[in-house]
Amino acid sequence: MNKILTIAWREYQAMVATRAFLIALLLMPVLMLGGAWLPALLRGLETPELRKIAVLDSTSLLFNRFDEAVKQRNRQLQSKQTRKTDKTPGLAAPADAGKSARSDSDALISTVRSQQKADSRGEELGLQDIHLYELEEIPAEDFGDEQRLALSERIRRGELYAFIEVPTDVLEPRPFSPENLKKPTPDLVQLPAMKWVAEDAALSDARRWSEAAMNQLIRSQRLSSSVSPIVLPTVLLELERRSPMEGGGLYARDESGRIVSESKPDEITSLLLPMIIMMLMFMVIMMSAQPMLESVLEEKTLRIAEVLLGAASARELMAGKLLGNVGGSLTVFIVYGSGGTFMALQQGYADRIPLHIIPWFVIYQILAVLLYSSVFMAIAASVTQLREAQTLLLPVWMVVMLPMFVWFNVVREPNSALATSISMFPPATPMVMTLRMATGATIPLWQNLLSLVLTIGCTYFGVIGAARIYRQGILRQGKPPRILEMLTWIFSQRHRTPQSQTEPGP
Amino acid sequence: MTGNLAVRLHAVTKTFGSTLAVSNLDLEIPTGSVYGFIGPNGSGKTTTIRMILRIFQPDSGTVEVLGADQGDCADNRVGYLPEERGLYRRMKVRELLRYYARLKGFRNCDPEIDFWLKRLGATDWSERRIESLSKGMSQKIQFIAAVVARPQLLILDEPFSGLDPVNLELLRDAILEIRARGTTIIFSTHEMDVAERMCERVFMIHKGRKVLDGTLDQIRSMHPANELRLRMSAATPHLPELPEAVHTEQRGQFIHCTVAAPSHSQQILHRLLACGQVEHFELLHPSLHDIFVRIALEGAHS
Repeated sequence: MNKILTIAWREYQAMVATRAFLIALLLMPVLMLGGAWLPALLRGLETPELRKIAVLDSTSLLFNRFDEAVKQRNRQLQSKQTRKTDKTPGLAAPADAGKSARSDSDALISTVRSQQKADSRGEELGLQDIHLYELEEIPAEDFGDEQRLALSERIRRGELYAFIEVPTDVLEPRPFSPENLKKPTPDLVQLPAMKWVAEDAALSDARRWSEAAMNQLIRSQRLSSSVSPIVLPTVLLELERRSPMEGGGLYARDESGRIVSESKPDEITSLLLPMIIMMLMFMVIMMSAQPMLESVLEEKTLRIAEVLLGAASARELMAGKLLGNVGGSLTVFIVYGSGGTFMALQQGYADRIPLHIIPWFVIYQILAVLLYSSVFMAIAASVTQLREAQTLLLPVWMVVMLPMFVWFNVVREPNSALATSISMFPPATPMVMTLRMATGATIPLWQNLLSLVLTIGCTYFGVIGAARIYRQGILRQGKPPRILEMLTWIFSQRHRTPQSQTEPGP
Repeated sequence: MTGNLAVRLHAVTKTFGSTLAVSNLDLEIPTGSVYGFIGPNGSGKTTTIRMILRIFQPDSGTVEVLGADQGDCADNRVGYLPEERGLYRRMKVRELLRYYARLKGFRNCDPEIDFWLKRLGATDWSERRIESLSKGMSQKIQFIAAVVARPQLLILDEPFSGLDPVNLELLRDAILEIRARGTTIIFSTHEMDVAERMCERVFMIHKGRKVLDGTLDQIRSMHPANELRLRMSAATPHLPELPEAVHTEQRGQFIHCTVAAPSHSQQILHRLLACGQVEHFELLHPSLHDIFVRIALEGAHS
């Protein structure tokens, strides 16, 4: 036992007391969470351009108001850029600054619409695109493919950013009748399509904003032309008022016996927090497994293993290394955990810290570190160069990364078949199970216990198998074994002593 | 322990897959001796050492080390200096020596570390990282790592490689000092002159089989002198006919004659004296190197 502790202590020091570890400790959260702020940061560095959009308005009723809306958006954007604190919604009414007879009603409608969409992501899209726009009206007469080609050429030359075609019948959809109301078809529900032609037509923020703004104008135009102007502001606005649906937490009885809602779910608790907890597990695994790979590879290539095996058995050596590694991983957890808690306290999110999952997290973390570190250890013992190790690690990385591909689905539906089944796949269990728990969803106890038993079993057999590969591979030199050969090492009855040594003794 | 034996191998066989590394090996190393392990590359020398260290288990036979015939790893009383340097590059010298001593169960090791650092003139390096040391320095540190836990059996695999003559002498004296304390030393080397100078007994393994084992005198007696080195005076016109010589060859100022048996040398001397004045006549005993090469070549031909 003394030898195991001696090895563990050296391994722990070698892992934790290095500059590389401290840098990784600082850099990992910055890289992983910084990704969320990076787009905003880069957007801040982007210089706004004035872009020209050509509009073919076959209705002859929409261009001026759309132009006004664009100008208003430009003004708001400029105002936002000069005063970053301005939170005015980007999609504003086209006519609230207008001088037409309908300006009052339009202003009211736009205000309602702005309010309705104030907290929706679509609303924000208007100002996420930082560029300013100006419009150019295209005569509707004799418009055809030749004109489309000419406009496209102008886009290619950079003179124009996009052109929009608004068909005539956009204001005159097919009327609803009792018959077709029974069987609504898409052409009845949707207006005739407008067309946006640009080089980045598919993902353009400007297209989404223009679509929203144009639809608002179309609806406004249709309402004002088909309903009495006297009724418009009062009845229609009343009809269009929206009833929001707020998310609420489950109810429970508190200490005084009152029934209260446990908490109000928000983006932080339902999305960000589980993601952070999963990433913490990922970082802990990576920051333990990778040093293990380097450590074993160093011991093998520098023939330190021979000295160590002359002093301790392979079992003691591996146990000591894994123990040191688990100690290092717990240090990572404590550093990140206390750092995260401190930040949560600073930001007033103390009540969001899911204390109940900490024991589970630690258990799963230990199991995951044991499993992945022993696999990395076995691979390092089998090869002589990092490059060879990377080839063998590819399938392992894919398993480690699996939860990354499904985390969003798991967070949205923590008890779905997908989430449940992946959390029962032992190599993914530590990350996915803690992710599910962190959402606050009630996970059936049998699932917790079953996944734990499966993970313990997988880790046990994983460590045993890795130990056999380690023992076989650590003194072997020359070309790396094939995966099939490594499997035979695991299942060989003569695992107590190496079956081959490529390097001849002197 | 059987009698005063430090190591006893009995009918030991070890195979790797289809390769026979060591075959039915018997070996007895007396306590307190300096025992040389010699043999060409791939002969089974390292496998034998690894079995003594318990890194490998034999397929059959018994390996008894310091009285123990079982164990998963080397006894704490066994020190090992491998041929390839096994040092953590980023550890500091003292830290590393402490680690290796503690792995051998030797906790209060600082006085011993200080003694050896001073003995080998390495005190100034104690806080330096291994990666900053030269090959010779690393070799000395590796040696200290092997002896720091005061082993009763010390296995040295090519201990002098990478050392300049001054440091070689320093380390040689240190080894003899350890031997004087009563430590049994197994000395694996390619350099036959080193083996001849350092070892009382020599064991040679070739293709997994023992081909030599005994004191240097015993070995030499098994390989009698069969080479003459002679020089005639300048007045002697030519060398007489020497029917007893198997092979004659001029090497510089001397003539080398190989004879079938040492007794033939006297007949050759008579013939030479009858022919003229003999300036130099010497019966050459085969060196360990010659015996080594002879056995290795015989093995290769067979």
